[in-house]
Amino acid sequence: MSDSIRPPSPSRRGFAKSLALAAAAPALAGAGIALGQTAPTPSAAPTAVPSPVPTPEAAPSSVAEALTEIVRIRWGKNLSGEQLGDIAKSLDQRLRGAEAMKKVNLANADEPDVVFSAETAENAGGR
Amino acid sequence: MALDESVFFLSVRDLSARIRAKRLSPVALAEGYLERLERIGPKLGAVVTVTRERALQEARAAEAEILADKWRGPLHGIPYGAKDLLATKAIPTTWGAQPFRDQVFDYDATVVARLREAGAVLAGKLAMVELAGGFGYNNADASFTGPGRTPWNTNFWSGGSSSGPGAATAAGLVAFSIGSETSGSIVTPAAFSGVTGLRPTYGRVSRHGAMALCWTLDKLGPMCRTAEDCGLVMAAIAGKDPLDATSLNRAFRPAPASAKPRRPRIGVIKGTTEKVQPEVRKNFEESLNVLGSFCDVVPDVEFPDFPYGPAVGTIVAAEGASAFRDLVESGRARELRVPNDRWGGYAASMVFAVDYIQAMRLRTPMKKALDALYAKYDALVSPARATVSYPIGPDFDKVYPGISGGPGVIAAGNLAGQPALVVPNGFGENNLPTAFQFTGRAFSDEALVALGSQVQARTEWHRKRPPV
Repeated sequence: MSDSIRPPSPSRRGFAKSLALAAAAPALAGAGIALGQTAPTPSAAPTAVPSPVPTPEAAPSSVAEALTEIVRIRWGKNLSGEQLGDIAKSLDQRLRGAEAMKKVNLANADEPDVVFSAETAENAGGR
Repeated sequence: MALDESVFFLSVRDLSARIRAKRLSPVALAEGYLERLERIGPKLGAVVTVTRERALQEARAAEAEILADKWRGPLHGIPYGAKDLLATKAIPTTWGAQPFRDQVFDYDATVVARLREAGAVLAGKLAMVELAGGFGYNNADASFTGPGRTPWNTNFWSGGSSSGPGAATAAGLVAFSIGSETSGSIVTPAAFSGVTGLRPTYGRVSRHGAMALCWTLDKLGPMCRTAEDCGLVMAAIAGKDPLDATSLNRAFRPAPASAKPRRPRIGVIKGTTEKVQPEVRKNFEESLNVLGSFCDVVPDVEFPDFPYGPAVGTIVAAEGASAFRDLVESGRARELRVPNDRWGGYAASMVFAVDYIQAMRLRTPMKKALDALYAKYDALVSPARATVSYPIGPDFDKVYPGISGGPGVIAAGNLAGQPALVVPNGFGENNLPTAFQFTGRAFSDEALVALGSQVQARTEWHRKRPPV
């Protein structure tokens, strides 16, 4: 796609409108999808009994909206209003995942499972 | 004279025996697989590049050596396919994505080099979900080559992100293939295509020359007709590589065929069958009966409760956004096939550093809890997927409402770096394959392969041929 037919960067007002529309639209991305899994989750909507009447989706949180505004400011020229709406929903889902991760107790000394080493290919084994 | 079609569905072990005995020409075998890749591959969306010239060169070299009684081992003269995220010298490596269609490296990935050293013949670069699915695809049509189709019913997906390796291996277009998994990308296509796939322990196979999506989760592994074949391929590709700092000095040594181990203890993960498709459950229960004939099967094993999904999602997003930052910020993500992938990288770029670190901190207690559980068993089992494959066309979230696989076994195993072996176990809706998976402690790859081989010695599902 050439730059000349790239969708124009949405304005702040247009973006706010797209967020409202996105909130009312059916979900485009399931939980696993929004979480960036590399293979789909068994079901994107793992409910025991499917609801016969689709319920309107809750609006993205204010934090998700604020983060989406940052996306718009930084990269809005590459994105349509509809895409920004999808991003807001995705970020909202990710923020809820972050809350779930915070519920696991960790002590101050619990390090990330990545070990930094001062060793390089050149200095390994000493001199 | 053309080879009988049944030859293309033989296991590596059987092909190798014929080649070694000089009853099967590696050149004739390569020509046969190349013809199938060219004729059937496009119908399945399984192939990006048929490497005819290189394949025939390697096959002729193998044939000359074998005729001179210089046999390199069980992969000598065996044609295979590589997922198109593995660098191959002077042959395009597209990562399944339009923006990288013309990308060519001047070296071979370590896995490709090791297979060449073992005498295997590179017959094709196989299709894949664009960028290995890191930006959140939600539809089977997720590659510039179109959707991968399972040869059992071409209206359905072959699984992802190793869609080509799954379809090509199942359809007898190659004798085996190399796929990759970050979170589910070998398990899913193996299940949906009806092949046997091994997700190795993290670090056992060098990723040098493989597209990076997520450095702390990416793994390469074999997709084959049998568990034994997975072991044969692993023996050639596993081990330390100075070019990949995460690779480990742990060679793969298959258990001797004559060994008679004690009766294995197998746990069945609780909650993995309640909400799956009925045929998936029925076939899994029949697999448990097979396991019961040579194992002690322990039902209802509680799986540790952790936020596996959010953790793996956060890690893939953060590392993937970094790995593809140039693509995202340049705006070229708009060239990707799936609408979700065109914006997914921007959302991924907004992961908080503290959330990424939190996810990485959680991996330690997750690993500890999982290892404590798995230490009590030779392996745990569960359905590989809760459903048969998804149809080509609708978005995934529209297809099987109400179905769930229960605990996040795939995400957990990937976060902990544990191996998994997928074993076909029957058919479900629309003549589509089902499968179950063994999962085990880190470095139990050999044990899983041995268990899979014992199951396959008692069943015929891995010998079924799709209607292609």
